[in-house]
Amino acid sequence: MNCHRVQSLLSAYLDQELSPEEWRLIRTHIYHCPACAKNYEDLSSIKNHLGNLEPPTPQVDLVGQFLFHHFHGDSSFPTNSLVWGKRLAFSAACVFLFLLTAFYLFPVEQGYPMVASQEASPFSINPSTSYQLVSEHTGNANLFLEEDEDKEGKMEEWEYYFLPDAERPLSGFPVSR
Amino acid sequence: MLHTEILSLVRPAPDTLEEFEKLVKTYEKSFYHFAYRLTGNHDDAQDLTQEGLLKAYRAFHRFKTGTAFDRWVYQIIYRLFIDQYRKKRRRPFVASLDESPPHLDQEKTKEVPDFSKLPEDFALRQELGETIQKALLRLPEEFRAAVILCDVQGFSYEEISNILQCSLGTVRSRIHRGRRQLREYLQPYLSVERRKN
Repeated sequence: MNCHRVQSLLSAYLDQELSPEEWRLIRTHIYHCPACAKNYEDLSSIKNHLGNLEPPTPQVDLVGQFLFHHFHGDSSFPTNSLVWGKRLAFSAACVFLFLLTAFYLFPVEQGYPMVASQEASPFSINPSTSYQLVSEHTGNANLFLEEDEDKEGKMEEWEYYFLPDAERPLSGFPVSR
Repeated sequence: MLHTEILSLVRPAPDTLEEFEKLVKTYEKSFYHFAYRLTGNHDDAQDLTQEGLLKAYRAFHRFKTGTAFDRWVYQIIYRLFIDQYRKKRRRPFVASLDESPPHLDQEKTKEVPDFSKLPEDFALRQELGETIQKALLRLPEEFRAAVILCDVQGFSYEEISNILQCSLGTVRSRIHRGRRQLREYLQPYLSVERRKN
């Protein structure tokens, strides 16, 4: 057995964790090899020092405190399901607050839903739409596009005559149905 | 192994708490000693021990009948330590190198009969206790746990392989490499000792 092999087994030899055959071989080698003997002495010294370290004394009554807090004082310590339930409730509250804030900061306009969602295109004018009827009567398309604040919400007499209630245009914007 | 005994425990019953309390009180000091050598300070050792005991109690119904209670709790404490160590490694602790850590102030070696009565011998031994703990803290956590379980707690290789959940060969290698690194760190003290002998 060479020195390299012996040194790798020195700790196991020291702890008596080798087979009787290996133990005998290493003991013979150490007896004849000063370098391995020195290593063995060092490892043995370290083992002795570690074994002689005084156990530290806990600064508090460890078990008493643990038992009091976790069992006697508070017998229903939180389980996993309870912890996750709390987290879930907190997340739900956060989402609710976010939605509430978003609703108040950006309220939904109820007045003109179709005006905002549709674009006017001069190429998509249908002769039967209200746009055509209005522009034919006035003879000036630009007038239709300009919003008259005074007349907002009011209808001309001819509009009542020509248009059914459902077809009345919104002021200032063409509406395609 | 003196402090390892095979215990037959029943499944959770009304007296589970008393059974657990009795077992914990038997091994309390050993658990704390193990945690202290792993962490190197009292605060972390207390936290680690209490957390380990709490986990052990919660999993007490899974404790296998006919296995050793202390080895089972050592295993829990070791796993907790590894988890915490990995978390701490992501947030490195910054400390001054000039002043000694406060947790090492109380450190001292066990008193042994000394016929020389030389004050320098006494001082050397006291200093050695601190130095050994510092050297232990410099070891990688796997080596540290294996060396502590073997040399401080006195477990056999087979018991250590059960606690650390690794093979016998791995245990043998970790202990040997751990001791070799300790020898390098403690070389000045070992040289002095050798000269005296």
